[in-house]
Amino acid sequence: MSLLRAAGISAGYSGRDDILKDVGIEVGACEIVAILGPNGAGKSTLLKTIAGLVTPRSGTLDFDGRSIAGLTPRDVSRRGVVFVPQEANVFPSLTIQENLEIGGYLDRKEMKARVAEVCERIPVLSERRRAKARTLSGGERQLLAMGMALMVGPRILLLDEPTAGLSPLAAETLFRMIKLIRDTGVAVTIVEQNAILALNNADRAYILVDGRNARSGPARDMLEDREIRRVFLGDVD
Amino acid sequence: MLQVFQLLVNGVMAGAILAVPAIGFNIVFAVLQISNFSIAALIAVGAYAGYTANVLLGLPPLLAILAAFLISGAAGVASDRLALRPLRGYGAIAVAIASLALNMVLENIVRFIFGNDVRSLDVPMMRDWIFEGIHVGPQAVFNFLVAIAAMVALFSLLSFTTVGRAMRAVADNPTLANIKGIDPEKMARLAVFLGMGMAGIAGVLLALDTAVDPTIGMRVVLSVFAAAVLGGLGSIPGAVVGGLLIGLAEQLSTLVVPVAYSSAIGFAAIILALLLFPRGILGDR
Amino acid sequence: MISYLVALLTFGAIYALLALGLNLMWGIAGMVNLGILGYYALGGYSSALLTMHLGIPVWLGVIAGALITALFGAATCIGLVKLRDDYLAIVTLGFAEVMRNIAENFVSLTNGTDGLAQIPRPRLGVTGSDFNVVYLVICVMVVLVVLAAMERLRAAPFGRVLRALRADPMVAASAGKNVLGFQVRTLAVGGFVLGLGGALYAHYLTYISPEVFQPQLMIYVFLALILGGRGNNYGAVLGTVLVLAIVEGTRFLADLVHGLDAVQIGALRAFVIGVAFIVVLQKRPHGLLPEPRRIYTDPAARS
Repeated sequence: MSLLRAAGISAGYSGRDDILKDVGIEVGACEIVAILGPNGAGKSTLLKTIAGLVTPRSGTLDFDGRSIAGLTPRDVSRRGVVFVPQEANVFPSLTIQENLEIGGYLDRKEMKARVAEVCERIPVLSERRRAKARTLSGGERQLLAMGMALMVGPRILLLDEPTAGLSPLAAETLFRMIKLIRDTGVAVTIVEQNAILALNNADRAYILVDGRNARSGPARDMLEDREIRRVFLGDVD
Repeated sequence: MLQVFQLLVNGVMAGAILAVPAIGFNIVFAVLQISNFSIAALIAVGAYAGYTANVLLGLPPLLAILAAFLISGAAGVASDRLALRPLRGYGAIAVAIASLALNMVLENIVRFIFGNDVRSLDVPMMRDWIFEGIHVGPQAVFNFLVAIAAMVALFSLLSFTTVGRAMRAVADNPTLANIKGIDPEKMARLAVFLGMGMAGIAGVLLALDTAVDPTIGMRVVLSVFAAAVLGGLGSIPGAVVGGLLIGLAEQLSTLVVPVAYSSAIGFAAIILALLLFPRGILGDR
Repeated sequence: MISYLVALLTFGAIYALLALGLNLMWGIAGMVNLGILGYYALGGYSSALLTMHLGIPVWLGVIAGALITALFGAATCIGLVKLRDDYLAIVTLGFAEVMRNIAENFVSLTNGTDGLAQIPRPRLGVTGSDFNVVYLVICVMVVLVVLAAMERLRAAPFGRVLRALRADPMVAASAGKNVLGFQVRTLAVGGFVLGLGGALYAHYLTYISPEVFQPQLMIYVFLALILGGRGNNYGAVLGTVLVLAIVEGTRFLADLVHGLDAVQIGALRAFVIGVAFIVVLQKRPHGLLPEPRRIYTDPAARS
């Protein structure tokens, strides 16, 4: 049984046409699922809809067997579905320590120990706990955003283009970390521009085009599918 | 030279009192991104709450200040809920203009109840202390210390408590704060309560300094805005720096221009400063 | 009763000029200006002083007062235009307070809080109540001329650029428009209209004092514009009429409630007007006459 199940989702921003048209995805426990597609395909909107930032106009949205459609973003987070936006994903005028504490706002028991635990996983953060988040580099900022998400013990992470603007090396590091997180029992749904990198690291993938499901399947098969490489991944061989 | 030192002392004392409502204005701006101009009337509400507690109920000044904090804070939250919150969808400027009308409404409620008569709080007249030729009134020192204590209390709340951190998080990024489990609406209410409570405290301090009438807030509000803008809208440390600079500028300007122009001087200072720093001295938004 | 009505309508016409000036600045070009009373007072004081001390004819003084205000509007624009909306609101609000401060304290020029009295009236060949009627007709004609001019301006390419600026100054700038130039001209023209209102006020009352800065007046003007329909010139005039009706209507509150002293009645009226403002804003944010829709015509389809 899948952990997260979205079916027949149509959604858009207020006063505008639908961006998502009848989209469905499923994510199993401990699975990394990549969502790929050209710019404007609705990938980010899909994550925002799951996270409660965009209200679906139709369709069902179930997490762990219960509907999460129409919940506020904080209630979605409370269920363990934690969204990490692409930009503005840390609080720049708060210190790293404070950012992590806000990350754990929903469950404030044993805060010190949990901050220490996250810092252990992401050593860059522990070195600069007193620094304001605005002083971080792009890669460090993504790691902090991830660390904040880990503070609540999520069951599924929704990551919106976490490697945007990062060097290839930093992107590789980030994906290594995502796999480590998955190994601790957290499902990951990731929107990614770099399709090859994503398919190399994900278990399964969905391709959205113009707000609709285009293809889906195991990541490995997709990497080897010549048609997919040519049509969707811009690979000209 | 002595005169300059005297003005510096006066300026710091006056500036500390100005900083209290300027912080109030900025904390509301930081969390709601709205200029709430009804702060002038809430200064008056605080002054009359303090007057009622002190003169009519016979409570000591410190309790009067606490009463003013609570009543102005509550009046701020209630009026924000009724008058301004329904307008947030129409943009910050619509709310700011409505807050001017709200200011008129609140000021006239005060006027309806208490009339236009000038009243004084019940505090003993004390002779000035004189240090090396510089005069300092004991009441002014008391007011200065209360202003400092109010600011320290607010800073501590914002820096060292979970709710303070949550409020700063909303000020930084309301959407992300919501994802992290913070209710932005609750934090907005708290910010308005604290901000307008600070205005209430300032009302009593101004009443102790001079006297109470319904225009007590309008008389200082230009300097308060000047302090808030000079330090940078939404910046709490900025409001303190702005308050001190405006207090000093207004006092020192009396060396060269008549006293009556001092509030215009404060304002001229902010226009100059804004030409150099279009986001205020410590502003980042 | 008739003379009350004539006086009321004369003030109404003057306030309609304020609403039209504000509509150009804020309604059409999107530059919020909480300092309109500063321009209004400047026009009044300038015209009064020029006619009193230099003995120039009243109508020349009125035009000169409006021109001085226009120049001043252009000058303030250059200082303020870089500021973001929320800073602009506070700074313009403060600007009017500074003007009031100067009017109250620069006694040798403005006669302080006592104000300037015995400002000359224009020679209209009639006196007493006849004068008031003729003056009212002139004021109404001025409003009609300004209204027509503002409508021409709104529909002209100039007005289209201003609306583009209101929507997004960055886009307008990248489309090659000289943003500052347009904003300076807007504040100059708007300042002219506000100054004109102030001058007509001064020569009507033959008296001007810092009381022209009463904060209620600014609220009335904004209320008029919001009630009538921000961005719509006819709405600005209609709104002024309605606001005048509300304000004058509250006079009858005194007859409805008994046992209040004068201060309390004044406070009650201000309370009612303030609440009316907030209710209008909440219930009718786009006013009675919404801004006229722009009709797009595809140039290619026309031929």
